[in-house]
Amino acid sequence: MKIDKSLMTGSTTLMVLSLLSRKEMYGYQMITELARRSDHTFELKEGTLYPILHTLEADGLVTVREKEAETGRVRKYYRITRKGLKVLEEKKVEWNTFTEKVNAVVCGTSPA
Amino acid sequence: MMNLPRWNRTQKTIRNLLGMALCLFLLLWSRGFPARTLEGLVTRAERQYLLDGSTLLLQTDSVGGGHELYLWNQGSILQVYYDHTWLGYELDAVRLFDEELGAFAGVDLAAGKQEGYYPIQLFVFGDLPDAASAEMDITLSYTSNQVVSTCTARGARAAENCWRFDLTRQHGDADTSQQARWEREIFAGSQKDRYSGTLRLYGENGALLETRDIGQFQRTTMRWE
Amino acid sequence: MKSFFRKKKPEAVYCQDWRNWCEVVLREVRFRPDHEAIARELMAHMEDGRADLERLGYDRTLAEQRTLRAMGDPAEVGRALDQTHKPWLGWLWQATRILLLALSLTAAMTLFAVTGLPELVQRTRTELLWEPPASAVWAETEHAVIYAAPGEVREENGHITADIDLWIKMRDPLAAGQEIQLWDLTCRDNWGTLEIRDWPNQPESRYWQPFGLEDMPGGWQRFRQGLELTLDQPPQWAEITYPNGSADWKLRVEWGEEP
Repeated sequence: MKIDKSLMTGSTTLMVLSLLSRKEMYGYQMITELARRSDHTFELKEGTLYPILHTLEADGLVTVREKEAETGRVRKYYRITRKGLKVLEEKKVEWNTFTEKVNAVVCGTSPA
Repeated sequence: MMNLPRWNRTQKTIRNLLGMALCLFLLLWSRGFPARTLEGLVTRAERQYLLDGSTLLLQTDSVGGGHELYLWNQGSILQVYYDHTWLGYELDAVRLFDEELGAFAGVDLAAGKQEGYYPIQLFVFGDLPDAASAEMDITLSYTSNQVVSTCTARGARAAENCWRFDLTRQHGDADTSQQARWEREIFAGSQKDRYSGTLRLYGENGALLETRDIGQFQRTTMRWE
Repeated sequence: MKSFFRKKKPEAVYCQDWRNWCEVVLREVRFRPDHEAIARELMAHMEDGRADLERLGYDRTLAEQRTLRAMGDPAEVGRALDQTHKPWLGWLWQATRILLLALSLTAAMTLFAVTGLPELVQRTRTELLWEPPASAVWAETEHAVIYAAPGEVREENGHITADIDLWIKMRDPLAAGQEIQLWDLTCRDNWGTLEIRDWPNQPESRYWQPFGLEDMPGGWQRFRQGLELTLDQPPQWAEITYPNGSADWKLRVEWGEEP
């Protein structure tokens, strides 16, 4: 199902950092991986990935490396940094708390 | 395979700025941390002789492209050789002269050009009697034996026991004689100038106190034979 | 704008629609030097997308259109990129690159020039090694302090040569050079008085010569001098006397027993 765009904006950074926490990837790879893992729910506008990646690099959360692929083309591979891992953990905690509270309100269950 | 992950732009910029600072420090250090102002240079020169509070008499060029300063300090002349680079004023050599009778001369760079030429100033200093005015017959030569011009100049008191005489060109611009050409060359900065003359000191009432002969000297020498 | 497209690879033909899309993006990015890298990354992305669709059976043109549509609004992408590619940081970075190169070249040239590092090291060495040894004897005058220590003893040309090393610290700049006239010294060792000679390598033995006025930085304040004694036999001690009106100063250096 199509998710409302406004719900997506805050969590895209979290998802990108998660993807990179396992291994380094280049842009297109992240798009396909994201689509695969989310069962094609998250198909964000692909162009918008790059501003996010460039911002993460400027903030020191990821680092870039140019690697030559078999086809002869040079690809920019993004890799998470130590600072990035730390921010990822913080964002995960933030996200879990957020979803917990939203669920509590929506489902009427009181927090344990 | 690079071991070090690539730095982002901010990190690279900071790294570059630090590198620039290091290079600048090394440059300054290798040149002895030159003084930033002429006053600073003078203070450093003075400190070598434990002096301070000198008066600037003359700022001129030296042979080989450097610069010189002549300062007066408690009866002695402080001669400062220095270089002026983009890093600042580098002190080359400092000497102190305490003569019974000494003289030096040079183009006065600080005065600026007049009609395309710098004025030349000649200074006489030493154990001189207290005089109200001074006069000097000056002979200007090109190298040691070609007389270019002679004149009689009124002295101005540059400091206690130090008199300054201003030389100007005696030959006109239209003059094409050998002397005139040599004179123009000298006033344009050539170091082939030689000076000699007779100094006369007068008292309050105009009476002649003393006459001294000054043998031929070059621009930057303080004494003569 | 078309400049970064001139490095085309033969097999990848960039379709015009892609190029137009990219140009809209780049129009929003103020810092021009980054345009090439951004365009390359975006075009590579679209190539990958088209390749995947072609593998699924789409034909080229359709694949290109689908890929382009998936990219999103170019102006929006461009504005977001511009926020990260700040022009002031970009130009500052460029400036630092150029200045660093210029400065490091200048520093290298200056340091490794003859008047650079080698001279500086030499000067520093001379300064650090200037001090007289703790065992040196000394005498104080009105204008200076003079230290003396026994120097090298060696055999040369059938004679024994012994050095007396002197360190002189002046208090008064104008007295420097006038104060210590080595010619006025008298010198004697345990075998007797020594004559002064000013020509080297004289055939007779038992005389002394002055040597070495080092060109010290800092001018008048301190300098090194010495006496070279030419003798028949190694000396046990030597004494220099300097006439100074009512206050002659004497310094005695000892070489001690031969090992």
